[in-house]
Amino acid sequence: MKILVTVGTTAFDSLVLNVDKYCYKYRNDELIFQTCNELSTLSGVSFTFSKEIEAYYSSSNLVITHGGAGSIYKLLELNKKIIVCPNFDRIDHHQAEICKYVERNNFALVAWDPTTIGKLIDKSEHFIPSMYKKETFFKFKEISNIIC
Amino acid sequence: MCSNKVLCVYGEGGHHAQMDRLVDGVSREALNKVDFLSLSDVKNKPKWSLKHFHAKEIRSKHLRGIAAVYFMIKNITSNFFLLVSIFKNYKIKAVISTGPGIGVFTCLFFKAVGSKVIYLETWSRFDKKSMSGRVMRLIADEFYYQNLELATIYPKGKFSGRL
Repeated sequence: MKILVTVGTTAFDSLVLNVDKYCYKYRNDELIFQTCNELSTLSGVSFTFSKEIEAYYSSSNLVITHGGAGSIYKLLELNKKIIVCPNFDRIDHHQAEICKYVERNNFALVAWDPTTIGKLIDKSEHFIPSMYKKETFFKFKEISNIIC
Repeated sequence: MCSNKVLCVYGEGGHHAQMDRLVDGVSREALNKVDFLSLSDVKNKPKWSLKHFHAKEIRSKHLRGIAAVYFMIKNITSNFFLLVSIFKNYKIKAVISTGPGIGVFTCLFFKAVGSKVIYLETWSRFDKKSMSGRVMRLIADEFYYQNLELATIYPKGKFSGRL
């Protein structure tokens, strides 16, 4: 499997290192890490930023993402199979709500603890997510009328 | 240049992604009648922005206690002078914000000087108000929420669907 791990713009070393350690020991996947800081890994390749992130999304079989809503929604809109891991290394824990939402609706697997990520990578091979649907934004005209 | 100037205020990450989507949709309706300016703690100017203002982060993701308070006060003070400069140089008709804290402070300022304020609660909230949402529901002229689960939490807000 080609696996992309993405942490966005906030450090999430525990996720990266747990994926790296598990896959190095037990699996034979092609790993790509998007980190926001320089981090040494046992396997795979890393980058900190790319304008071509969507190309990485498209070419991956599985994306493991932090709980940032922008990343999650983009990946679901692309119909990607994902595992979401809320970043509790941050001071605030606001990523929990969207993680509950995607788990409740079977849109993704959720790793509430980064140390469990390995088991979820194994589980993802047989996981069939539900199709992502949303009520699309419909207030563009109203806002335009207010500001013009 | 258009006479209608709108200041779009957003933070990094998902807040930025929401603002990009929002401006894309609104500008299609506004048909060149509006100039969008941007203010963010994100350094880079978005493609849709006529002029970008780089503000300081209000809330640190990693500091706690006194250090966090000092960080906030120092950066709010710096940002205040930036807002005064924007006010002096541009007639801002409306401020639109997708949060977080940087939007609150900016909206408060421009509301006080007579601009209209439009606020979107973040798309990642389903069960609880965000800290910014708690304040902005009281001061925004238009307050939108994107997830229907928030209908009972923001009874006076407007459901907008998700960007």
